[in-house]
Amino acid sequence: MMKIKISDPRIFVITIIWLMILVFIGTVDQKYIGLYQAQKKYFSSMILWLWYIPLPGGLLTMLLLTLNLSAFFFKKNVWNKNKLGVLIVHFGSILLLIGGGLTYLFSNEGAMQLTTTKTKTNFIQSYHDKELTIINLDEYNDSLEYTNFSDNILNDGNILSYKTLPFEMEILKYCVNSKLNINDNTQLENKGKIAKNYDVECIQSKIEDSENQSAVKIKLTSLNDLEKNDSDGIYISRLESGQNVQKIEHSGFEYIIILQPKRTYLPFEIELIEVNKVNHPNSKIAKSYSSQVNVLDQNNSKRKLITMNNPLRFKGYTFYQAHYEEDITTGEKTSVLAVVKNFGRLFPYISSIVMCLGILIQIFIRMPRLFK
Amino acid sequence: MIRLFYNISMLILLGVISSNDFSFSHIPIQEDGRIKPLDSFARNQLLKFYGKTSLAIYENDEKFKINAIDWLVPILIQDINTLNVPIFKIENPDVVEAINLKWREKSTYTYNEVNDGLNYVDDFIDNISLIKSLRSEKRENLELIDRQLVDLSLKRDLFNELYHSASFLIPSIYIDNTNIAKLLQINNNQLISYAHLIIKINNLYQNIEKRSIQEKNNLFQRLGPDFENNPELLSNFILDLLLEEINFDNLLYQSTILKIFPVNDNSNEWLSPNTLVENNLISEYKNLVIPIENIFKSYISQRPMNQRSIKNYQSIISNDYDVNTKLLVREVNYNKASLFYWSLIFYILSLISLVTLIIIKNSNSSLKILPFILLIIGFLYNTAGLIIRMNILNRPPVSTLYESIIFVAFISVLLAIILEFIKKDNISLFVGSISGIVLHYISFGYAADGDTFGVLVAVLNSNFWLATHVTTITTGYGTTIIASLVGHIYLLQDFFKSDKKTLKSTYNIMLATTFIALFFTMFGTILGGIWGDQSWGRFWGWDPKENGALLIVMWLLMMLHLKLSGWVKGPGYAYGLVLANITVALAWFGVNLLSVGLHNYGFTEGAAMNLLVFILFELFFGTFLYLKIKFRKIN
Repeated sequence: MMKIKISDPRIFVITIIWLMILVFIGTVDQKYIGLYQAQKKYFSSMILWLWYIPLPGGLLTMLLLTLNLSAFFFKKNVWNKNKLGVLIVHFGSILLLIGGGLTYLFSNEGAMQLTTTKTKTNFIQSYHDKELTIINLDEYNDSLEYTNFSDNILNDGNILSYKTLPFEMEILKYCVNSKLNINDNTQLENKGKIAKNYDVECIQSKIEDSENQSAVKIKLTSLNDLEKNDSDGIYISRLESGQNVQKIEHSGFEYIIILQPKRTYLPFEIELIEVNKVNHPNSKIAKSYSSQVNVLDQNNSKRKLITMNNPLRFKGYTFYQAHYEEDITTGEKTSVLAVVKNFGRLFPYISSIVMCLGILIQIFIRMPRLFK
Repeated sequence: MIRLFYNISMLILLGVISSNDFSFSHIPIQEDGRIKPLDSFARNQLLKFYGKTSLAIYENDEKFKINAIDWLVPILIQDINTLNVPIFKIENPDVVEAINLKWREKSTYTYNEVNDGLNYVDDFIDNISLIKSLRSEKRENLELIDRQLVDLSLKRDLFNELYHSASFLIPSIYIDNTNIAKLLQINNNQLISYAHLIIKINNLYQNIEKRSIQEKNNLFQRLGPDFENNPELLSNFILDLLLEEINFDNLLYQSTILKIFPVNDNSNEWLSPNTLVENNLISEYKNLVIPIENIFKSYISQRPMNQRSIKNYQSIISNDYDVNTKLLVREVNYNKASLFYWSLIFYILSLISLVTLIIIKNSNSSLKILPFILLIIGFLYNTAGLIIRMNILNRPPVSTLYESIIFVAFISVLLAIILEFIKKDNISLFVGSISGIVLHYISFGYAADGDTFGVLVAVLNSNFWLATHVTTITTGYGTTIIASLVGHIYLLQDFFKSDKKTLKSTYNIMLATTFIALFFTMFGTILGGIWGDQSWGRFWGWDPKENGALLIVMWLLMMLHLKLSGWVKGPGYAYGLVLANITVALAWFGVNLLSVGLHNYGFTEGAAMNLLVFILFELFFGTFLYLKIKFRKIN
């Protein structure tokens, strides 16, 4: 029987062909399922399910590639000066793949919305993940108490409870994308301004994940049976502003139930001073956007101008100018910053230098012989 | 030898950069966010109607070539004859029939014909309401012929706009009344433009203000007692008189397309003659209005242009409004020089001479160098064009699809010249001239879409990362194309049974070019990631354009490892390289088909078809030759 070692170039050929197929299909499929879904399905998955056939996903393929490349260094006859360039290129590509892995595991990204009217913001919102948040408005007089339930536990039938909450919530329905239907025969147990008039229906997700209107329908039950409460009943919270906030009173406290993009809180605050958009003259093509912000860290305040390709870097976070919106009726300007905390940020920079150096060395080693 | 090349290249460059006199073609105008010479504006307009940047007119079987600017100016001065010049190109016979015209071989029609056709109404047909209803529909819901009808009606409107864009600046008003003429200080038998007339009236008004009370009283007494108390009556009186004099027909329909009056802040919109009149700004701009009127005047009377007037105009726009007149001159010269036509011609000549020499088996060494020299001359034209574009746009020449094609042609030919310099075996000349010819040909298709000096969207407008990433990745495209073409040559050589030594030599070039291509595509792809990291915070986002570039890199890596594993030998390796061209085409043009992602340049319907034909050709070419060679070896 033929013995194949993990360092065999044939393994590389097969894995890279499979990766090419994945990249090609994943790129074409973006037109139909959107970038976010395609990325999840083809590139960052261990297993790709084709009907009921399991195929290796992008992540698994790249792991195999990393193994294959690493094993190259343990081959017998590679440590000689003729293969110096090749060795360096392989080392660089392993660095690149490891960097990619670290970024995949430890990075955090989201958007920060800043408006000229609101004073400060200290959180970023996830692009894709949602959370169901219960806010106790007057637990303490000077601060609010937040209880967050991440969207991966918002499965139909789950019952959510937490020690500080005097009630539990059963998830009746969670939709990634939804629409509201007018509900004619409203029952008494339907509470909140939406559930009284509408029922929520799950619909096909949009290609652009940001266009999805996620919604959750919950049934709220008091934990203390003796104290059967008026607020027991069914509530709907939907991502669209104006439909997301549901207010209830319970056990003498006022609570807010809200479905919102998952928030990550930063150890500092950002304040928007001014946002600008400049068009190319006589056209609607934007030439540049820029935001003038204040970074408030404890007692220090720092002024900074964020423009396209000129982000703000602070405490491991990087803030990029992403969008600009202007409300024509109110004149309120909104600047959206893309925020990234990238763990493996330096890897591509180092590995690109290493790899290109390696190829150049190899070219210098090989070229004279090829042109003889 | 090198000295000779240097001299030739300097000649080509100087021919374009050398300054010319400032003239009508150089008047700056703002269009699509850019300040350009009127010459470029005229070319863009003519492209929209006619599909070409110069016009061919047939009269008595004789062909006249008319430059875009010479076509535009008669329209601006409302020469009635322009309405009967066939410039509307209608390629679809159904459209011609729909607007009640007869199909012509040249398929060009005049404004009058098109306008009458679009307004044609009889008992059965009502084109006016048809067009109206079509134009209210969404474009994507329309059938091809309806879409073309809408386009035609839009072109008709554009022509109308052009025709009426300068009406306030054309000297077309004749003052009959000698009293008014005297009062306004106009020569009795002189034509004057509306804008100039307004300047004269304002002057008169200021004159009156400045006079002493005594003089004023004299004047008012002469004109009548009512004017004494109300000087404004005077201007109204003059206006009333003028209204009787002037034929306003041509002033009624107005358009703002001709934005030739600069503003001090260059990021703002420039002004058209009609905006000046509407906003009462004529007097503020009288220093520009009068010279422009003079330029029109000399054009109409066909007298040589008043040089003082032009110098005056030039100094005002460059000193007061900070317009770089040198760049305007340079762009007009670039337009006229058609450098890329010349580079194409020399590439073709190089290929022809190369083939001829091989066929006649000429061993005369002095003739042998001819194809090489022709290729280098073409390359110099190509280079000169790129440098001048960079100079005019002040950015690297790789930001639009058109520019990237020209740049890839430059890189391919450059690499071919270097290879030929080292190997001296004519193979690289084939590869270089063919890639140059094909790429130039493709680029002309894109040039026909409009202004090739377009402005960029915000994220692409950052010079450093654009310069590094896009330049490197396009260099990668060029080098991969060369590697692939060498693959083509290898298959052909093997197919026509070349000797072992030749095959080995070509095989080595394949390997060498693969390394070079790998270097640039890999470096370019990673730089793209770094650009992404710098601009929006993520190194890799599986964006189609990124994936396309990655596909080329992976393909080349696969080829090298296929060779290492012993799975492929010479012909197989060449076959793989032939197919590498497909990955380049997909990454370069194919991703635009998906129209998702950040860096799409825009795409036309015909291009999809061309792409498919190209892919099928390469597949067929590679597979056919490879299988033939394989079967021959087995037998």
